Formats: sequence, C-alpha cells, structure tokens
Amino acid sequence: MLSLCIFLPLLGAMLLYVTPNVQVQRWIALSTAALVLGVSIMLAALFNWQRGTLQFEERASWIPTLGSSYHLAVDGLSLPLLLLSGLLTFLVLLYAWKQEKSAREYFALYLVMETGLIGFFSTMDLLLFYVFFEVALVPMYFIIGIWGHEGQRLQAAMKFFLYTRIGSLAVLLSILGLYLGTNPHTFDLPAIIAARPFVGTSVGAFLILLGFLIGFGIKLPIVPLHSWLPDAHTEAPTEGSVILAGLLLKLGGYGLLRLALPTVPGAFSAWAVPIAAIAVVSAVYGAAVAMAQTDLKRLVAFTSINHMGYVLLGVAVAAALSADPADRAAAASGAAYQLIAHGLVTSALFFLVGMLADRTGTREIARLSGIWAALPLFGSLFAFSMFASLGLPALAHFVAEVQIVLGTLGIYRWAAFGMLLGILITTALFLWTLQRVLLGKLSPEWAKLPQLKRRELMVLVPLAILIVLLGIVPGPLVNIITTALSAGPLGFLIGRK
Amino acid sequence: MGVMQGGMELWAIVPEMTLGILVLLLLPLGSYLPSARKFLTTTIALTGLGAAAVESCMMFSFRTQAIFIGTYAVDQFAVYFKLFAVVATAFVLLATESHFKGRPHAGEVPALLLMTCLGIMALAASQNLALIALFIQLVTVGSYILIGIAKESRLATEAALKMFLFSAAVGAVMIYGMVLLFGLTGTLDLPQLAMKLPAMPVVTTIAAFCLVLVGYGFEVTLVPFHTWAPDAYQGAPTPIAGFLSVGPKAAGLAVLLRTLYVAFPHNLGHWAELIAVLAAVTMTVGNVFALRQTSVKRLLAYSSIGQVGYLLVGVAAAQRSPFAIAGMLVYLTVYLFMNMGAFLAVDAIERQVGSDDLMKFAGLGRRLPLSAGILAVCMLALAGFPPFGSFVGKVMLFNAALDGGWTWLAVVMLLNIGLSLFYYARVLIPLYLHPSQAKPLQKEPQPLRFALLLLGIGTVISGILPQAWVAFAIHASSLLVPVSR
Repeated sequence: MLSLCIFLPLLGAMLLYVTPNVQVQRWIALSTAALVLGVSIMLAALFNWQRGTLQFEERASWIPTLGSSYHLAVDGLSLPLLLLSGLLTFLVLLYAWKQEKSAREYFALYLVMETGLIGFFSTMDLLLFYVFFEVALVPMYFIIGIWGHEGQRLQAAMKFFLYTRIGSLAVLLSILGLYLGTNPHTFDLPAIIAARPFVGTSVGAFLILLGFLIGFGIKLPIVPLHSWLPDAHTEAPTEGSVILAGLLLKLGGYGLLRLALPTVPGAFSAWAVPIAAIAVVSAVYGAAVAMAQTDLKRLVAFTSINHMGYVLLGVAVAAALSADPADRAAAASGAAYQLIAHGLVTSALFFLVGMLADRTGTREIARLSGIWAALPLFGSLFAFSMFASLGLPALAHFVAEVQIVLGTLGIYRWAAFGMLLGILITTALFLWTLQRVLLGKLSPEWAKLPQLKRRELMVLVPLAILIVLLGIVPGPLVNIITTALSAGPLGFLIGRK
Repeated sequence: MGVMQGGMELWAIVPEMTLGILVLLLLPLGSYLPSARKFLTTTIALTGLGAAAVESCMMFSFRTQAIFIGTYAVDQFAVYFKLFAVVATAFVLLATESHFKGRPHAGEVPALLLMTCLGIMALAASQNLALIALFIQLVTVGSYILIGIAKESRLATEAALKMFLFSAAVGAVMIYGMVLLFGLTGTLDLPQLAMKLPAMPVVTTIAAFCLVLVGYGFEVTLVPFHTWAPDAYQGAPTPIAGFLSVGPKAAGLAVLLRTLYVAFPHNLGHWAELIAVLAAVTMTVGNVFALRQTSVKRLLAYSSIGQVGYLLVGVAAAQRSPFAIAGMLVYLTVYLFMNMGAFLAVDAIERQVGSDDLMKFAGLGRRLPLSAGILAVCMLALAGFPPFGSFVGKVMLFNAALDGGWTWLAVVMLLNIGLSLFYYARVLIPLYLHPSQAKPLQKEPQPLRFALLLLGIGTVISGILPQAWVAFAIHASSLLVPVSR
C-alpha cells in the first residue's frame, strides 16, 4: 500500500509521455495526484489511531550486502506529512491546470517530486532515506530554473541546488557514520536505534549531529544557512513555492525529529542550549527581516524562516534530557504540529499571493492597496490565512506554538520569551501588511480585478477547512504524534537516557 | 608455481590471445577492404570481443594463482578488468563505426582499439614490473595513435604529439624507478619485492616508489601528471576521448592498486596516506578547473580527473576497509556507463552541431531528445545523484574513507561533489533551460543510439538494483596476494 503511494506518481509521470494531447495530460496528472491522495486518505482511515506507532510495514531485500533493505512504514509522525504531500501535490496540479509552457514536463516533475517526498516520509532505511531526499530535490531545480519568473531564476535555481546538495551530502556522511558505528553494519533505522551506537557524547556522536544539523538546517532553514530560501521563493512559480514551503522545508524538521533525536540523543542534549539560541535568533530574525520586505512573496518566504525557528526550538527542548519529560513531549509534538500547520497555512498564503500577482501583475506591497474592497472573497481568505499564520487561537498554528512555548517555559525561560517576541513581531507584521494591502484606499487601477474562479476556490477551501479543523480538534493528531515520538522503536522521549 | 611448465599455461590467457590474433588479422584487412565494406572490421571486432567476454567469464571459476613464472596473475580482480576493458571497447566500437565512416584510416580503428584493449587486460593482470612497463607502453602507444588518427585535424595531431612527448618523458622516469627497485632487491616480481623491500633503505625505496608512481599517475591522470589529458581529450575524436577517459584510467588504477597492495603490503613509506592526499588534490584540481570550461569535452576531461580522485579513495583505503576495493570497482563500472555515455552523447551532438561549445547546446533537449536525455542522465549521475548507480559507489567510497579513519578525506570529497554540481548543472542549463528556435536535428545513427540507450539503462539500473553489482564487485575484489601473508 505504501509502495503504491510512492510509485503511483512515478507511473503517472511516465503515462504523461503516452499522449501528445495537453488536455489528456492534464487529466492524467490530476487524476494520478487524486489517486495518490485517495490512497493516502485510505491509509489514514486504516491507520490505527489508538496505537500511533509503526504500521503498514513493508520489507524487501534491496542491497543485502551493504545491509540496506527496502523497508517502509508509517507512524503518527509521518502519516500527517504523507497526507500533506498528497494533498498539496494535488492542489498544486489543480492550480497549474492552465499551465501553457511545456505542461507535460511541468506535471511530470511535480509527480516525480511527490514520489521523492512520500518515499522520504515513509521509509525506515537510511540509504533509501537519502535516495528519496535527493529525488525530491532535483525536480525543484528545474521547476525554478525553467518556469521561474524572469530575472534571476537561473542564479536562484543554482543557489538552491548547491545549498541543498551540500546539505544532503552532509546528511549522507552522518548516515554513514551511524552505519559504520553499528555492528553488524546496517542502514535500518529501528535496528540502529536499538543498537544505540552513539547515545553518549563521543566525538563521533557530535560529528554525526553536526552533519545532521547542517543538512537539515539548510533544508529547514535556520539562520546562518537560510540565504537560498528568499531567492528561491522569489523566483519560483507559485506552484513551486507552495511545494517548496509546504513540503520541502518539512524534510528538515522531519529529519531532525526522526533521525537526529533518536540516534544521537546524548550529543543533542549537550548542545540543546546553543541550538535553542540559534532557533530563537532564527525566529526573531526571520520575522524582523520579513517586516522590511517590499515584495509580498518574499515577505511570506521570510515568515517561513520565522516559523521554522519555532520548530527548531521545539526540537531543542525535546532533545534536552534534563527537562521534564512532559515538557519534552509537549515541545516535540508542538514542533511536529508546527510542520503540518505551516504546510497548510503557508501554502494557502503562497497560493493567494500568486493569485493576486496573476491579477495585478505585481507583488510590490507599495503598489497594492484596498484589495479587500475590490475582491471581497479573496480578501477574506487572505486575511484569514494571515491570521492563521500569526497564530490566532482556534487556528492550526496556535496549537503548535502553544505546545512549544509551554514545553520551552519549563526549561529555557529566556527562549520562550524570545519566541514570544518573535510571535509579537509576526503579529505586527501581518497586521501591518493587512492594513497596507487589503485595506486602504482602492486605487482605480485595481478596481476591475476579476473575482476568484471556481478552480481557485477549490484550491483554497480545503486548506482553509483543514486550518480550522486542526485548530479546533487537535486531539487525535497530537495523540498519534506523541505516541509515535515516545513509544515504539523510533520513540526517544521515554525510557532512554 | 610452475617454473617447469612456464609457457604451457596458455589456457589462462585465452581472452588476450583471442584479441591478439584479431589485431593481427584486422590490421591488414582494414586497409585492404573497399570503403563500402569497412564496417566489416567493426563487426568482426565486436564478435571477437563477445568471444573474449565469454572466455573471461569462464575464468571466474579458475583457481587464483600466478602463472608464467609468477609474473601474471589469474584472479577475480584481473578478470573483472578484462570484462571491463571488453565492455568499454565494445561501446566505443558502436560509436566509431559511424564516426569514422568515409574518413581515411576508418578500417584501422577497430584493430587499434582492440590492441589498446589487449593492453588494458594484460596490464590489470601483470605482477611483474617489466611486464607492467611493457603493457603501459602498449596502452599508451595505442592511445596516441588513436588520438592522432584523424590526421586531417590539426588539434588531433597536436594532441597526439603532446601525449607522445609527455608519455615518453614519464615512461623514462617510471622505468628509472623500476630499475632502482631492481637494483635494491634484484627482482621485478611484485610478491618478491614485498618480501625484500622491508629490509632495504627506506629513503631509496620511497624515491623509487615515487618515480614509479609518476608513470602510473600519467595513466590514471593523477594530479600533477594530468596536464596532458584535457588537451588530448579535446583534440581526440570524441568516441576515442571517451575510451581514453575510461579504459586506460581503469588499467592505471588496477595496476596502481595491485602494485601497492602486493609489493608494499606493510604501508611502506605511508603510501596509503600519500595516496589519500593525492586523491584529495586530484579531485579538487579536477573539479576546480572544470568550473569555467566552455568546451564540453574539456569540461568532461577535467570532470574525469575529478572522478579519478574519488576512485583513488578506494586505492588509498584498500588495506584499511573492506569497502574500499569493492567500492572502487562498483564506482568504476558505473563510471564506465556514465562517462562513456556522456562522451558518446557529446559525440552524437557534436556531429550535427559541429562544435562542442556549451553555447551551441541550447535547446537540444527538444532538438535531439535521446542524446540530450542521455547526456542529462549522465551529468546527474556523475554529480552523484540517486537513483543513478554512482551514488552506491560514492556511498561505498565514503564508507571506505570514514572506515579508514579519514574523516577529513570524506569531507573534502563531500565539498568536491557539491562543487562539481555547479559545472554539471552548467551543462544541463543550455540543454533544457535555454529555449531554441532551431529545427529538430536528424536522429543519431542506429548503432550509436543502441550504445547510448544501453549506457543510459546501465546508469539507471545499477542504481535501482545495485545488489548484483555490489555482490559482483565484492567477489571481484579478491586479489592474488603472496601466500606468506
């Protein structure tokens, strides 16, 4: 079933090359994505929500000589992200329906990327992990490089490519370190965790942690390693930005929670304070720099850095072995919840910015004003998404951020205050943006903008519903995330020291 | 070990003899055939290579031993390289047939390729310095005739001359080193050297070793003995350049590994560290110089120097990690696919576009889909992206470096792979990212299409189902070593 989910998109991408008819290709692409979404929803329905630990396990031999196998499984941490991948790819393809320029290749690249993403979220073998990590990366280079906005797209694509490649190679070195440290050598994640080769604070453990931090830190991104992100977002097409922010950034957070925390807990705990400091700097810096942006899309891009800073803070608190287990659990589940919330909210924001830019032909904040009056429905959805992003109660981000703050308060009070400062800046930022773009005087230039089309609504409404739903009923999701992180072979919260 | 029956062990060199006989047959035949029938030489050569491949495969079941008074090794490692040489030559033959069609000396190319192939096969099995010197010369002579065979091209003649002068100088230095070793120990046999060298003065041994390394380094394009390669590859006919970047390099690596592993088993003169440093230097120099090339052939030449750097990690860690030799062999196989694929794709493009300048490659993704597609796959594979085969090799080589305790080497390799992405992506950009209004080009000739497809499939399959390759390489990484160890 998981294999089906992984390889269906690839099959769909190949099917695209059967016919030269663009209309048929659209249907193939969209129905493949719909099918994958259907399969993943079915997985969620069959998932045992009481248990939360590894399910739907599949295992086949791949490179037995090197101790690597085709080992798949999902648990409460990966299932929501898998669903998110299916959903966002589907919505992106729906949004890209009218794509004219090389439509076939465009669709194919998204489908290939979906294979990489779903594979990444559902594999239990570190070598496969790395393979899917890279498979998800290459299509994005072409998406930015070919379909990006005119201007600096080639440079942005190259920057993205080089940064993330160095990151993934750093992750690979850490993976190999784990592999060589385990006897007998194996790439199987549960086996490595069970063997506990690097639980202490040996030099090897620190080196491995460093590799993970660089690799996943670039993906996340955290502040000294973030400079590829604004450029990539500025140049990427709307669909590309959605996938980039909604899914590719999640690889970093997921990687830290899944790989780094359980395998090198001792080293991670020893470095928890500096990591928390970096996280706070990242969050505040992202928010502050977002404030200074004149380009609406770049602004949204920088708020991603802010939100991912909270994820890293949650991870750091979860890593601190001296903290209260309840605090650690809250912080870890907050970090994971933040990944999902950010995936939904920021995707909605990028879609909305894209729709606005399609209509007005500009993303300059200074040129936009009074949009709400011209496009009431659009304005409402935009305002809603911005409120969601600044962490309004009863919406998705709130649940995540409250958990992270509560967890952090127990051990690093300064960091919690830093994070609150970040949230404050974001709130001010979004309110200010709201005031500048949506309110204000409607300039005659924008008086006759076309209203939202049905297809565009179909993209936005599911996201909005989920954002509300996750804000009101966080229980089941928090529950499976927490059990996945504490019990089972990949849990690191309880019973390990 | 058979002093009595020296010369009676011809059963062990059947593949070499097959090729030798073919060379003698094809050389005169090639020039006598009318130009309409020149393709026959290629057909015969391919058939002969097929036979040699089957014969080599049968040698896998032979007992590991030394023959011809201990000068020639029969082991899995040698058989692996025999097969490697045969496959590489076969792919080149598929391209040269149409490349040289109608040009002078079209008939001799297959014979010369087979001769070089023979040299590679024999070199990988030799364990006597005199034989090694002899076969290095055979490979080199074959190489520069092949480069210079396009006499009408000034670049080719210049390249051949450069390589000739360089190789003559380097060969002399190497033989001087071998003479020193002989003077020290009174033997040229690698296993005997291993026994006698530890008692010899260290400084002289190291000096002699370094002199010999110069000759090997020329063959594998080890920095600083790589300077001939970019000129030679650029000037040479493109399929020949592809062959040179794969065949002789592999032979050089094989003989380097065998010499170090067999004759210097005690890490004499710290050769492992020396090779590790040279590997780091080689990959860095290759990748840095590749960054700004605009001629794709020169770019690929520097890239292949960088790739050799990765392969050398396997040589350096040979005695420290079980992953090293196997990793090198796995990587070498994929390197054959991807590097040969890149060169042959460039050949196909160059024939129609008339230049290997990067700017002329604009929009080829639409105009020449197969060649451009294979070139793109090979570029991504050379950059080490999964799911192409090279990533398995790179993983094993990384493992070897880490296992050998050289974390710094792994980090250098990581930075190099990251750096190399920059120029590999530069090749991809015009292919797909630059639009072009020019018309589609003609399809490639049938044999070349076939070769390209096989190479592309090989690059992909070796990454998706790597188990067979890995197991094969581990099997083939057993070298003949003296019994005393």
